[in-house]
Amino acid sequence: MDRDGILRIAKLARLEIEDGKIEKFTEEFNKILSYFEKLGEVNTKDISPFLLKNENVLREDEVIRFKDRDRILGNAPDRQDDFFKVKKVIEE
Amino acid sequence: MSDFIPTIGLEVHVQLKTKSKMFCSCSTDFGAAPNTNICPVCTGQPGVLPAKNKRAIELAVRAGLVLNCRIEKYSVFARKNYFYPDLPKAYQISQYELPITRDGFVKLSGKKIGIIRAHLEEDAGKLLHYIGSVPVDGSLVDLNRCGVPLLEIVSYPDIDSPETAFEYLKTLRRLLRYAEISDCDMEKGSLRCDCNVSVRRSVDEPLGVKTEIKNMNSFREVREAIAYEIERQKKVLSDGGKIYQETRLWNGRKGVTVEMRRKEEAADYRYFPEPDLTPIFIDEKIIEEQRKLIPKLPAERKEKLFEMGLSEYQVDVLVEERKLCDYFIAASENSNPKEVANLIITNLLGEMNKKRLDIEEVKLNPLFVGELADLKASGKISAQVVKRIFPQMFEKNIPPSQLLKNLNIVSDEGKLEKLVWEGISENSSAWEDYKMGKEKASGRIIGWVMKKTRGSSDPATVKKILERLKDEKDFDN
Repeated sequence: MDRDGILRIAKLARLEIEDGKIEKFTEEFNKILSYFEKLGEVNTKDISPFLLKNENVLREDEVIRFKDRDRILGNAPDRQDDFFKVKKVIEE
Repeated sequence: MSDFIPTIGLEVHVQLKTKSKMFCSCSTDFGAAPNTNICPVCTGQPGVLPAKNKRAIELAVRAGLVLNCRIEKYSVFARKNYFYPDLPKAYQISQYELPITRDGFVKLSGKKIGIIRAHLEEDAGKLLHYIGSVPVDGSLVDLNRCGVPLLEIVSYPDIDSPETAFEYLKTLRRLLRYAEISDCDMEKGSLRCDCNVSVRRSVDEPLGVKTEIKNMNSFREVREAIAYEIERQKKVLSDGGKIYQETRLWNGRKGVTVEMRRKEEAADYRYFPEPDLTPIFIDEKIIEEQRKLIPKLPAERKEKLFEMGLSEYQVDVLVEERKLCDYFIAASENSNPKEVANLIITNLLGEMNKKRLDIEEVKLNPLFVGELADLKASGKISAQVVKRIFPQMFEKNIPPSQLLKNLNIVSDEGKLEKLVWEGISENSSAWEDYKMGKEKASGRIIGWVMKKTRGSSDPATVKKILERLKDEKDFDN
């Protein structure tokens, strides 16, 4: 992972990185990646994902009303009446 | 301008007919007050877990069957990551590498349109920029739709004209409605359609650069938008210009497509398997259960209706809605099918329109329509009489025979003949003229009988009786 890669990931994640910290992030990011590389050492060819049982975990199609929606609306940074309010999204 | 060949592929999203959302138990009710059908799961609160809706999966299997797809024994959900305020989790749960169904087709009148895949996903929320006509100093988010189950149906680029796209959409909608998979109502957002359009000069060339067009509100608009986009691309290329891969919005008011965003690099959605959900397993039992729930589909019904002697127009109208077609089949079981079709298309649909009713809300017993059709076909009652009694039949669900009795409608030829004799003696000069060969003179006698019966006799029948009487007289002489 190089400098451009870090900038691309930061952009996708909507993160702002100060110029001076790009090097540090690149280094740390590569450390994390190489740690996960260890998983690649295990041969998983022809091995399917582990599941306790090959059966469906499903829910019946029934409506259960959630009663505390005001707490959800209250969790948002901003609201207007019963809407969540966000910065203007330009659509045209 | 040299000739270009258009290539069109459609992505259709339909809302599956479920009561609750795809991964939580919130209602999918259309038109609920803003943010009333929300919960911690569909608003992406920390620590929640999604749970798959059984019915949505069954409906996806049924759709796969109707679309002649292969139903996968094993499929998985995936996360599609992007930031937008209508998507509180910052990812949409969809299917990517392993969709639930793939490789199917829809048969049109002249050709087959291939289906690449039909996969499950959840809808996003809705953004509002105005309240009434007043602009908001930001954007408002309603998450009622967020998490509603959708099936995305992706066609192969097998479509070569706006008309074929239109026919494909109509056929697809009919299939999904017949099998009760989706309401496919564009106005209510339960069907949406994006089109990929490109043109090239010959089939030997590789496909041209495509644009994606969105924001059409009806099938007619889809047809118009595609036609516009084909012409636009042809013109750009003929003038030596270049087509960019971009998303274009249809502006229905102006009848044009407008550039929305240019895709400079392919969008990076960083798909990966959804770790919060187990895979979907579909066995033969589920497939067979769903297969049994599929009624006779439009193509098969069309054939049967043609065999019954109906016109192409009649067949098209009757086959459009399954319940209307069922009604016709029930009404014509022992009755003249052509006449039943006439009554349903003219009178029944007329009354339904007036009262703004759906076929499900019609109380009139289809057998009564059959009875009326036979009375009409045998000439016992006239079109006027049908017109007069149908509204009452419709409203009160009364058999026509009873209404005819109540109205004192004269359909008995013996009774009518007596009246005709009366008419003759009251209009003896007209009778003499008629016998001399003046056809027009019969009108006075027919008019008299009609007046006497207050319009409840059939003029054609009266005329027939009159003719018979004249011939008998000739014979006497």
